Amino acid sequence: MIVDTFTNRGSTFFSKLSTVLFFLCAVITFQGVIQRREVELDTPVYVHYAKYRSARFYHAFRNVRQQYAQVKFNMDADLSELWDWNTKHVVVYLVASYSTEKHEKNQVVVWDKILSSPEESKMFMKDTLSNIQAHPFNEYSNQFEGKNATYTLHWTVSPKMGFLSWGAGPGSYEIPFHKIITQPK
Amino acid sequence: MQKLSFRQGLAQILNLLLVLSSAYMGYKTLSFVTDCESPVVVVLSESMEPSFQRGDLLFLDNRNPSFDEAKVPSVFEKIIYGSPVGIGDIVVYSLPDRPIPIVHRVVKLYESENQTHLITKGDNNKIDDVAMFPKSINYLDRENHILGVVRGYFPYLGMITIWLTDYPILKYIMLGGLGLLTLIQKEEQ
Repeated sequence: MIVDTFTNRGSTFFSKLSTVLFFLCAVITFQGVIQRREVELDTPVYVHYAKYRSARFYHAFRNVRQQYAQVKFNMDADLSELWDWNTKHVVVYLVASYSTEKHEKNQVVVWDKILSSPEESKMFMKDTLSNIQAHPFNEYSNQFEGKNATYTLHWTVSPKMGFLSWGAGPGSYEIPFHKIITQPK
Repeated sequence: MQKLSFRQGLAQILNLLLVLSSAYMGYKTLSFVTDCESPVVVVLSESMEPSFQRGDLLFLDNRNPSFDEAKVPSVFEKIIYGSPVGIGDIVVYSLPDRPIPIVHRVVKLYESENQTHLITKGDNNKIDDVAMFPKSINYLDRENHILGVVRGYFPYLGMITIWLTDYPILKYIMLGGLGLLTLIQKEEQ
């Protein structure tokens, strides 16, 4: 015999509610994968130069003096198409890619930004310097001479709920590293 | 009230154990499928704000297949098959002298045929993580230090875990409540 009481009604209601919420979360999570938003960029990054010199940062590699590089670039990229109702943030970062004898793939973030709205995702920057404090650009072998790097804009889309997604634009031309000659003191 | 028979009590306890062991088996299955000892972790600090807040649940994947370099895997393929750690991925790693794993973003990646080294940084931190490493470690190693790569996340649910840790009394209240519910609950005839 089924007793129709407030307790039973409440139990049935919350049971149904949790089931519906579960499926709603599942639908939101998987629609983000099936209905993924793409952006096609046409040469978003132009690099003026990449220069390096010997320096020392208190927080980088235990304050040991070594070679650090800095990049000057223009950026013209519209990532507002990545945004939909489930998008929370878009994190963009400029990645230097190059090969060495020891590692076929070296990738270093030299600049990044967190975009919090579609308007903010329309980026136009001129003569911007890479952030050498947050991303000290040193080399594994501590030798930049003779190396060339391409620079690519990457992004990560953080949803309000569900799976993260990634993307990248086309790379720039190969840019050699130049040494800065400083006058002896 | 109907007298609770011994057999009925045993049946109720068995039912509760079945629920708990099902949850545990589900967790272990997810652990096996993702090749990750902790496929679900809770964010405990603010170093990855604004993307992740304290109390968010993160779902990890530690599979490391070798992909054709020319082909960039789609998000769907990354989720179904896994993928190697890439620049900008958010990884969970542990250090030898730190009990709690750290969730940060890969900002430097050095890959060779048999070894992958990387350096991480929290989005909300001003500098990278090298200063946090013990003296003997200059780079994180993919095989030895990385527990998994973040694939997805769910907001707020992890707060339950944090509350249970911060307020131990809640543990006993919850366990006691479960026990009482098990014994009191009537079976419909």
